Amino acid sequence: MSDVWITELLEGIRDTLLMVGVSAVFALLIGIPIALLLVTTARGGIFERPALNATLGALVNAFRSTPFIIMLVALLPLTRLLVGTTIGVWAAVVPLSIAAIPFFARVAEVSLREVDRGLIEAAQAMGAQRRHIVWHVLLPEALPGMVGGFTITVVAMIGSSAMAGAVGAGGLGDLAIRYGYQRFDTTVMVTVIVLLIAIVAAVQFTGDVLVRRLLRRT
Amino acid sequence: MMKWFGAARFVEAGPAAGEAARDADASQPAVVFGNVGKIYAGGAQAALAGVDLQVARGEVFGIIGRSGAGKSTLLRLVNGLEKPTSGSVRVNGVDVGALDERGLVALRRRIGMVFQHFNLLSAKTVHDNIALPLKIAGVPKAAIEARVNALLDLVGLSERRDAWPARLSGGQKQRVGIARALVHEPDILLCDEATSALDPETTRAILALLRDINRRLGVTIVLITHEMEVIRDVCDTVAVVERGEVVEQGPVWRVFGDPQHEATRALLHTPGHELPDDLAARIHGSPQAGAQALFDVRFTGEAAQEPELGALAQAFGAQGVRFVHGGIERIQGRAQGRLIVSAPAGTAGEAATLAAQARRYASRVEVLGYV
Repeated sequence: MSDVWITELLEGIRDTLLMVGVSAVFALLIGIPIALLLVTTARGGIFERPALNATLGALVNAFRSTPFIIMLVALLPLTRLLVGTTIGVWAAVVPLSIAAIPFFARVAEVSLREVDRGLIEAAQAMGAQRRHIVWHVLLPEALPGMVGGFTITVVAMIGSSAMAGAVGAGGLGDLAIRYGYQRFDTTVMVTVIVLLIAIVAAVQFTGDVLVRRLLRRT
Repeated sequence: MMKWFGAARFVEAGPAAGEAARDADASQPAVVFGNVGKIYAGGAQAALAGVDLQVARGEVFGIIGRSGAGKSTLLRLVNGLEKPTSGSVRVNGVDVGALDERGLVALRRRIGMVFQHFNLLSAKTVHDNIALPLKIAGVPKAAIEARVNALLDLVGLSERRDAWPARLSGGQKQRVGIARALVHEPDILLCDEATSALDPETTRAILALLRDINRRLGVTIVLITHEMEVIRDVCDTVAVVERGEVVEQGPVWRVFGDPQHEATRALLHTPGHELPDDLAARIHGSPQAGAQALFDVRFTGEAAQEPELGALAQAFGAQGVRFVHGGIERIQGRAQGRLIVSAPAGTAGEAATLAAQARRYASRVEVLGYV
């Protein structure tokens, strides 16, 4: 094991965490509003708009059904437009975010839809306007489920980030492919796998702790 | 408008609809249903048809019916959670169906609502649940604190202020629900099966609290239930709903003492309203020598009379008169119920004479048969 390789390993960890972290923030910030729209514009929702709901649902499904490796390539023009390049960590953030947003939106949608209708009715009966219902009822009541869903999303994104490595995004996946696959360096391969397992375990553990803390009140 | 707990009103009057609601005078009915019909989209049958009701200010108005009879819809029309398909619902003189969202929000801050399954927010503490209606209405923090503390005191939950709802018993949850419903100092409190998820003891405690709120704060209460005990214990007036129609209404004592409609009788099902099985098996229609006649003696409470046993026994011929079955209860201070009495009567004519004599001491006397 050379020093060069150790440096590359550290860079790989940093790049993986960076691209997953930044994309996860986008997934959170854009996914939750989409999930709220999906739930509230559905039939019987507080902003009932069936046409908008169907359109948004179809759009989300379209992105969800495109395999990530294909989306990675298909989004190259958009990536170049937004980031100015198609290689490196920041270039990987675009397809990673665009894949994670609809995924997380669907997961969060399930949690939001499970909020008891009686709670919404109670809020309406106390004179709550719709924005109050979103802010005081839907989001806080769905929070434990959304945190759990976000954990699943981040874990899935770590997997996808390795694929992004295949098109020159860097990160641990890139390392594994270049050293482990192309140079048959088993040590690197095993090290990367162990590191990925550790990162996923850490994410899952953090998510579980948060959910448990949130559920302590129920 | 009365002040609660000596605290000044701090919620400013809303737009026109709220203003009208606030200035409602005491003689005006709190809620008026005018020929209300409701058909749900996709529903083959009308949920409500031709409902006319008036809820007087300051009374406890009970709506009773089997599940699916339309009581829930009826209650939700009052605060606009449902809109009538035809007819009108007026609350404090304001047509609820004609209000826009702004008007509805103003109206709902004048009407509290309590639910069967409490519907407390699990992510908020007891305090924050009660404070929420004020918070979203933009009430200043200090005023919210004073008000929430007063209500926690009223419902006896001051110690559980910072507890999560999941840690409370059913009765405590409902107390929080009631406190939350009262936080805007409403004129009207709607109770949707408020005690149906509670055990009998807790039910009594919650009903006592509701009665207390009605008496002390003058809040008009409209409640729906399928339990006649709830109506008997707290209501002044009752309406019986069956298949979307009001089949009977009036003061509780009258409806209970002298039910007219089949649905009412089925719901009441009070002891003594049916013949016990062993008597039903032995009874026959024609008298024999030495037979006992069975009399159905009813007290409807109409004349505010208690059954006078001595006089009644005399009327039935004094000798060999037996009290076989039945009971008397007091509803709204009136004794009512049914006694089944047996007395020796060899012929139908004799039995009819005894019944006629007994009628002077009871609301109604009928010959049931002979044993």
